[in-house]
Amino acid sequence: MLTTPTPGPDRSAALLLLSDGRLPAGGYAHSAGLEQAIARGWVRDATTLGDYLRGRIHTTGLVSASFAAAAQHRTASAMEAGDAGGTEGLAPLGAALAGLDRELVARTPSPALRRIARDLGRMLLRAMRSIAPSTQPVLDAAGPVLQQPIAYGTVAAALGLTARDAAGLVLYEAAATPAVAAVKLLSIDPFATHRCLVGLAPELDELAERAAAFATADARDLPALAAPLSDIAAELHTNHDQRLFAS
Amino acid sequence: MTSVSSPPEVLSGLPDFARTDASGPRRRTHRGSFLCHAVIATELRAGRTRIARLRADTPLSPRPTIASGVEPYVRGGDAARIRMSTSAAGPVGGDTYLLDIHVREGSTLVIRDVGATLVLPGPHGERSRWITRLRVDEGATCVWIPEPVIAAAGCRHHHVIDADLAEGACLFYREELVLGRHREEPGSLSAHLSVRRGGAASVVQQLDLGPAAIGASATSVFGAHRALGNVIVADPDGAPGPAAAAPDTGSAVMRQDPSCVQITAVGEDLPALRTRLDTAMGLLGEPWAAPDPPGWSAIPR
Amino acid sequence: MTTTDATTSTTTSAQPRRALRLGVAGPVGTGKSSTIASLCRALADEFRIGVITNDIYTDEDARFLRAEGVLPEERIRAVETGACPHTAIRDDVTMNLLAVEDLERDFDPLDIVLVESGGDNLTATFSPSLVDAQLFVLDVAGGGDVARKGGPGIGRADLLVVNKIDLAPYVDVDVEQMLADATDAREGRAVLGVSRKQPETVEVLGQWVRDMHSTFREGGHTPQDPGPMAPHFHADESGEGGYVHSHDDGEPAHQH
Repeated sequence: MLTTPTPGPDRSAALLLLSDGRLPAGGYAHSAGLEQAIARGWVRDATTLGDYLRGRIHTTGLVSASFAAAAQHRTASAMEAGDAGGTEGLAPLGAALAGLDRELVARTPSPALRRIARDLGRMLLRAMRSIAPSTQPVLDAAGPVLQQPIAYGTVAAALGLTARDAAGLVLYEAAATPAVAAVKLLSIDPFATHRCLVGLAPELDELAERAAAFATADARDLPALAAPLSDIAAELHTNHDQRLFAS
Repeated sequence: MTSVSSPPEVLSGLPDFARTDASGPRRRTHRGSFLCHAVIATELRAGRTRIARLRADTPLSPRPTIASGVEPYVRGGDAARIRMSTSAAGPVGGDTYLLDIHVREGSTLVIRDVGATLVLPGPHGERSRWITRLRVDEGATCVWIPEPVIAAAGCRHHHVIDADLAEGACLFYREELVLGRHREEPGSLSAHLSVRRGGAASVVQQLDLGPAAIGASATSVFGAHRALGNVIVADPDGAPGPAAAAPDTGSAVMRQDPSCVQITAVGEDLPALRTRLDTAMGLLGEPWAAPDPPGWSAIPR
Repeated sequence: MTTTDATTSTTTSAQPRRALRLGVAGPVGTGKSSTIASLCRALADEFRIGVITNDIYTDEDARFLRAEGVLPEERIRAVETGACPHTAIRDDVTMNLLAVEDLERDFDPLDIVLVESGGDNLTATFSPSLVDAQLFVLDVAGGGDVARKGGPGIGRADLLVVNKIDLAPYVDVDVEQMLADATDAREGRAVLGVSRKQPETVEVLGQWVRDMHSTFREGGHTPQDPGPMAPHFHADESGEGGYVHSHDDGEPAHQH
């Protein structure tokens, strides 16, 4: 019998666990396009890094967060149905998330970015099955392969977190992943990179609110804001001979 | 935050596809803006493509033309050919241009423009919209090569392409978006592009560019470029070209699914963009690649 | 702490058809890639082999192995480690685990998958959740005293390879002494002196892998964790003289 964890503020430990960069789910090997942006001279210092991060969160970050919120909502609904009717209640979850996945893939032009998001999603689902065995029935119903934002939304729901939690987590990750990688790629003060994150905090929160409002929306109506230079950079990166980061 | 609206809002208050009866929108709004609705439909009759419907609605004026220039994708030469012209400047702020295109089963339509589309702010600072709804039925082909959309300083324009393809439909679409005229500050442009095949999403994107779009000038999004272009090729026989390629630092060829490929390119100006789009299209191979010299523009270059 | 079940299963009984996953760790420049090349060359006729490399700069090692021509190119894959080669084999093995599983799936059946760590320091060892057994590679040019210094890789890897023994006369290292020191540091665990220039040493190395593979196939091998630290001494509170332990017996973690 499944039990749906009650969403609420008392779940902050689960949120911290999921957003912790030390979670062993493969995130450390990614710079979210920053390595290539630096290689091309597009990002050189804390100022250009801050701009880079701001562009990211207002476009693909918002899109990812909206899909995470939508996935959270669909997963939480399926879990409620599961509580009421046993594991059969979870059965429609796979199809609902596959529909979301298709829409997100259509919003991700770069095949490299799609592959990376799929691998990261797969790693997250795999890690969480083992880390939190109680989530296994839900994650099994969700499917083995999902784009990372959707996987985050599903895992968040399985841990009792809200759509707003999932959106905030994905947005923070969208900014923090390249910010942390910057320290290894640039001659930059690590305090300066985190200063960029603090500077973006109000926008991250506002964007997370907007993303969470899409939790119940039809998949077709979710945001589709594109970042064409990130797509181009991702394709350039796959052909780059010397890479520290997978993306 | 970002000034843009999501597609459902941008698409609000429109008549049904190709429906132009009395219950449709008024042609003029309270402030004298245009609200016009043009319709193009082609069909196959006795083995030849014919224009089934051509509704002009001032200032939107589709006109039939004869074949001219290179048309590499038109197999067998059978196609209806239309050029769009606008009989007034614009769209300007407050205007809504609605264009419905229906390429019916087995027919072929080639659409070009007479000239570039210059989007102007208008007197009241309102947003403008140009919405094209495209349906391509089974076995039909649509080749659409519009001239650039230029967002003049001060404009707030939504440019929406909503393409609904049957599984066995073909599409070639090439768009060029430019921020500001020569030496002009950029206007704000929100370009929506949606391509669905058999109801499933192939390409869905919204590009928010210009001063109203927060973060657009970041090097993760659009940088200091002034021009952006996309090419979409949907071919049920399989998407042409490589699965992925980045011919230079400002363009990429990206296969979306087995039958759809997208090219995205940026440029510091329109000529730079066109060079990149042409180069990237060269990777698609016959029959989609541009012949040399490429003949994409209706205007001689 | 051998039960680090980071993911699903590395236990032999659960997936008897899975390949033996063999890690190759060791400091930069000691010859991990050439050891792998030698192994592939020696064993290619008997085993279906795949290789995952973790070079700091993605595919330098993979390119070396491809250039050696010892395996079909597509069976050599590179994994990026975000400048953290130790993380990729220890703290967060998901990148590598996925790469290994994909390789096993794409070329099913494989007998052996070799995972080459990015060159790191003496303390970097593989997590048992990634590999079934591991080699640690040193070379004589690094100094004859390195083996004596110990450390988790040197002390407790399944096999310690002392590489480039043909160079010993040029760097004033007594190979016999170095091997003896290593054997002492390893409390009798296997140590091999190897040189590509001396085929008989490569053959002994190949035989070790053959034996490991058959033990693994019979279910007789349990992955050992060299551990994040070398075995070390605790002053004993009860006054009976302290004890040596090594954190591999499932006891709870504690602070040092």
